Amino acid sequence: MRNREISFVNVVLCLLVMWIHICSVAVTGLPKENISFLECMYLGGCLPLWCRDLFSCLP
Amino acid sequence: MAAVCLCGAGIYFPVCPEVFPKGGAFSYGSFLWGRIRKIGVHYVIAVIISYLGLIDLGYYTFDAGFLGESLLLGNMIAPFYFIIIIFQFYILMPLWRKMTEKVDFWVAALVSVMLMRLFHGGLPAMIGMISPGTEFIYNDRVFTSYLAYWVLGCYAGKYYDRFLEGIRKNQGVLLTGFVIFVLTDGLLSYANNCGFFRVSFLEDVHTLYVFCAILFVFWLGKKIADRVMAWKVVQGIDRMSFYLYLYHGIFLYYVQDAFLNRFGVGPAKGLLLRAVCCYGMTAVVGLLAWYWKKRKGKQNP
Repeated sequence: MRNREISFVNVVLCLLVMWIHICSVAVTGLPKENISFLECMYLGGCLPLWCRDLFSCLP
Repeated sequence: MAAVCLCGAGIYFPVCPEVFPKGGAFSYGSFLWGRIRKIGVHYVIAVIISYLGLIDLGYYTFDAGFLGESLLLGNMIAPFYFIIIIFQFYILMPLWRKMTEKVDFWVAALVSVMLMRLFHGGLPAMIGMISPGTEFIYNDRVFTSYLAYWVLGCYAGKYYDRFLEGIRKNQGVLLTGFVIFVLTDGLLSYANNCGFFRVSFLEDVHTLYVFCAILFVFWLGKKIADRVMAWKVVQGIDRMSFYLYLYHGIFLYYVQDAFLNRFGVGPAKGLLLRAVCCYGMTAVVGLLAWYWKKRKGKQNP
């Protein structure tokens, strides 16, 4: 049986990966160089990458 | 990538019991075959279905060569290239087993971080030196760019109880580090992107943030996993995470192209509706998976 913490992390990461793609109009719309997908899987890339995309749109 | 999930997101740690079987000898062939069966086959099916979906939406016309290339590069839809990366790690599994048996954690951690840094920045140049004129644009699909995450994950998986105990003992440091690196990474990214000043070490700050974020999620899991994982829908999402990971991309394309664009929905409402559709679909799939499991459990007590 899977460990509860691992299952929890799994669910969190799954939802965060979706969130990254929800935030872009098209899934491939995010610039590739800004995505390290393994990092995203570990939550790592999510917030800064999103911030980078967000900030890059600001004047 | 997961691990993903983790691989989807959760595949990383769950793989460890197969890699370090209790009471049984590790078989590289069986391990690889198992990964191909459980992940590779589903990946191929997902790529083909996504390709057909994108053809249906008018993005492509059928080209077998392009499909083959996309299968190998994982670039049909963004989440797919994680599978390509994770399979490179699987192919090298005997190395990781030996490493966790023979090499001290701190040595492995230090070396893997240094190698990751070296290859992430320098692999295209190295290839250019070996083969002059070659422009290598797939550095983000090579396992060396993610080496330290994998290596540290292996040790965390092998010594999982000690890993969690370490998180518990050092939670103050961990939370402080997480907040500091969220702010530092975000602000430096902002400064860099706006051109206030150039931050040459931004990638290093981001790497440190990633490590803190991983530990933070595990800390959070230790705190609330028992409560959260008691929910049916969350159990179902956990069970279906790999499939959700594979198919949410094409689902979002359909939501955007066949629904939002058709009705001229603006960016702000579009974001909200994409979230509602994607997470709504996830919740439905999660609940169905939970009931399916329950029904199966009743049939096979």
